[in-house]
Amino acid sequence: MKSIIKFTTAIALLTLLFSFTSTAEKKVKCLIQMDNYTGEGAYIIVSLINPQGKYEQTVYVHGKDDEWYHELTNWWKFYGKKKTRLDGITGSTIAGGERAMSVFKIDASKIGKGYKLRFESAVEAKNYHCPDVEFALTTANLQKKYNGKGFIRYVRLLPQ
Amino acid sequence: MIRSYWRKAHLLLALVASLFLIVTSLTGIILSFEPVSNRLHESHIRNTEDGSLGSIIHTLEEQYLEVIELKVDENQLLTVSVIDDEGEFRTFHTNPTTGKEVQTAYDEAWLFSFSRTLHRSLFYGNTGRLIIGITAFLLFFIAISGIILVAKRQLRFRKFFSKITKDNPDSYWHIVVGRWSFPLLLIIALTGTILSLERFEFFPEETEIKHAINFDELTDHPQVEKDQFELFQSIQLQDIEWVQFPFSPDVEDYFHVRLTDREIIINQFNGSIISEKEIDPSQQFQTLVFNLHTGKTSWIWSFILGLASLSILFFMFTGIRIFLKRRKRKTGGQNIYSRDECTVIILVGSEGGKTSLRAKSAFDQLVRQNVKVYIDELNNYQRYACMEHLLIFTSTYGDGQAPSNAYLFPQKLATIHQPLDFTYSVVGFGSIDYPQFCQFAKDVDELLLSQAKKTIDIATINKQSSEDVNLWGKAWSNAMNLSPLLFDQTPPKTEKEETFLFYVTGTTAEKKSPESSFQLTLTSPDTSYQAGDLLVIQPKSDERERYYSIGKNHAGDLFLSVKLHEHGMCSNYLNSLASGDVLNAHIQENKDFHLPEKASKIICIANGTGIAPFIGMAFENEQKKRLDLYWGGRSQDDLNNYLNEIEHAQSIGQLASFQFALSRETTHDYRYVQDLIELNKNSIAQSLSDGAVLMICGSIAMRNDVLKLLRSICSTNLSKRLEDFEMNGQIRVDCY
Repeated sequence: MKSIIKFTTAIALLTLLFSFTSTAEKKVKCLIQMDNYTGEGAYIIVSLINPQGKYEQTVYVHGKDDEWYHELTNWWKFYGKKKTRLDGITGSTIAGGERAMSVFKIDASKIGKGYKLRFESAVEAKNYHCPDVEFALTTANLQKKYNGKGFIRYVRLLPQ
Repeated sequence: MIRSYWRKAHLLLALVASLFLIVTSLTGIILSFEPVSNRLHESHIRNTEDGSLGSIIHTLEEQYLEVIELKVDENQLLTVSVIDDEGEFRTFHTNPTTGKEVQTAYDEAWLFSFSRTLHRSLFYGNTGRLIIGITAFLLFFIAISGIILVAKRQLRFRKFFSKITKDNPDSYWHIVVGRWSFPLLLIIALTGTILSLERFEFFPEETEIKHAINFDELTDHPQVEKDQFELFQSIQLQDIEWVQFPFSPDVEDYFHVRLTDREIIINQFNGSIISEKEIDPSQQFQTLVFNLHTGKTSWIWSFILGLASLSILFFMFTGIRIFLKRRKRKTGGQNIYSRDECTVIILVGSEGGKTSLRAKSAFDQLVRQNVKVYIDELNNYQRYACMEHLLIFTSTYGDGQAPSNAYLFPQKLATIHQPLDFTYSVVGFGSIDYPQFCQFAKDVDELLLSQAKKTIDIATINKQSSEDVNLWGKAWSNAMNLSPLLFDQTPPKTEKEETFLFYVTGTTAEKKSPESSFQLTLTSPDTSYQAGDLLVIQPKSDERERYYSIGKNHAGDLFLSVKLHEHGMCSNYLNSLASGDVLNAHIQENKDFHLPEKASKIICIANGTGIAPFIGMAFENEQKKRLDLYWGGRSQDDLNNYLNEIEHAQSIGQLASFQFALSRETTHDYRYVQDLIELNKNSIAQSLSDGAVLMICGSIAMRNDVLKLLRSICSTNLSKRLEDFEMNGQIRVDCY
């Protein structure tokens, strides 16, 4: 009996999720170029920050090993409680001097409404930079280059 | 002994590293299959006929909206990141021919990832890596010391690959496999060490390649199709580490290509090279080291590495067996109780060691029955505080004489009185082919009758017959109220494993005239010996063994002087050996005839080939004790055989004097060595009373004459009996 309930709730949740994703979304190509630091690959989290300055959605995660996620303390406070699924929005860590490309999906209705895009970075046994890069989510801003303050040298974006 | 030093180093290093070597070899064998398994993966870069970068770019751009990155990983598998037609960003393994995603997920086999972690760090982080690094370093030295041992065994490096004589299968195969696999082991050990060092940042971090780009000069003309770029046509997939595609169609964005040896920045419109930089040679070296150690770039190499890993396990297996055999030879038959607490005393008279083996077997069985038993040679007969029973195992030598470790017994028996009444039994060993079958045993049996009571009658064992010896064992145990002694069915052999290989390093064996003598120098990597020990040679398996007194020459090689008998099987065999030939023999220790440690002075008397052990003792006489050598030979030619070595020993002060007599040279003053003794009798008498040791080696006739002479010297000069000196070990004889 219980399993049937679980199953139906899962189906319901999935449908809900699907209906969300099917809403108009903007795809943005993103290039992260790292600084030349030495050490392990960096964990980088890209998050959507709402006008109140709170985490609203995790956009992309570089770094697949979740045992380190708690080191990104600010984001962990948001993510750690619910542990929303990160399927399809994770990539590898990025080491010093390397670059990585990814494609984000951003809810089009949130562009130009006071939301922000935040990049935070952490390296095992090194610093945590939050934010490393942060900018207002506007159509114009989605095709610029931003210099980072921490492990990120710069971030470039290009709408698809 | 430089060789045994290397052998010890080889063994010790191997033992220290053994546990980790087992782990790393086993995992190494497993990991050697990984490149094969990768090669079978659909996305392996060799799964295409046209492996050029241009053609893969063409294939990919046709199928995907945008290509972002292309990578060839260390497993030689092709991975791409693309944006597909639905605008999804995806990264996956790709078939290099079709550009399609390889659906069979590349899940690294659990066994490989487990093995690799174990192989690299024993699941113990940096500490584990350090241990593995040290193990690799040790393996390097094990291989080096092994090479040196093989070279020494084969006498010199240029004979490194020449035929090995097969003595025992373990050491034979240890060497055969070793000399083929050592280059591989050196590579594995060195690269493994370097890989571990890398982890500890021993090498400088890769300096980042800085490309200088003049953005003002960049142009988007002329436009050429990307896959038609000449450069892309020429670059092959196997040389690529990664290719980053331009981020946007902006002229300032470019292709960034990293090859195994350089990085290139390429204009995305016309394919011209904007910047090209060599990769730091140290970085390339590290890649080479990685590929050599893992075999990732060639499954054939990887397979060879796997075989080398297997050979390490093989070496450990055979190495341990060789080590255990060596140990076994050294122990066994060791006394557990002290002489004066034992009730049963076993005394042995044995020439070839077979009788000793029977005695040791009896000893071991008695120990197991909790009998307080002590074993020794007949020559060492002395007062035993608790002796209740004396058990004698003895063979007979030659024409009814005592074996070399038993001849003092009759005299000692006559003079030593035991504190307790005791019983005795004698077991004689011999062959009924000889007229004087077990004569010495019978003599001993009769001598004892005057002092003690027989437990059972003397038993005479023919040709080590196990029936005979077991019959005796039963009767004796019965009489002693003990559980029966049992002896092996097969007569003890001087076991094959006890024979060593000796290499002939020099010979003077060209003379064919009978009754002349010739000299051989030999070396053996596997055993050690002292001058005075016996070299036991069995020219054919069914032949009787022959004994030769061991000498040493100035170089420390075994020095043998052999009299050639016209029909002598063994002397003719030895005469036929040439330099570089191999001889099988074993060493019988002859402790009583070593260079005496405590003597105030050493007087050596020899005739004929009996000089060899004394020349050896002179070279062992590093303390430069006074050593006088008297020798009787036949001719000047005889003398010339030894003169070089004798002069050498004199020049380094280890031989104080050398006097000789020549029986066939009428011009010479002295004819026999006895004449020399007569001449020097006063000083010899004085030396004996001052604690000198007098040693005699040579023919029995000479021995008898010399002993007679000494007896008279002792009584006239010292008013002492010769036996007194014999019994306290001041007179030692090894004659044949």
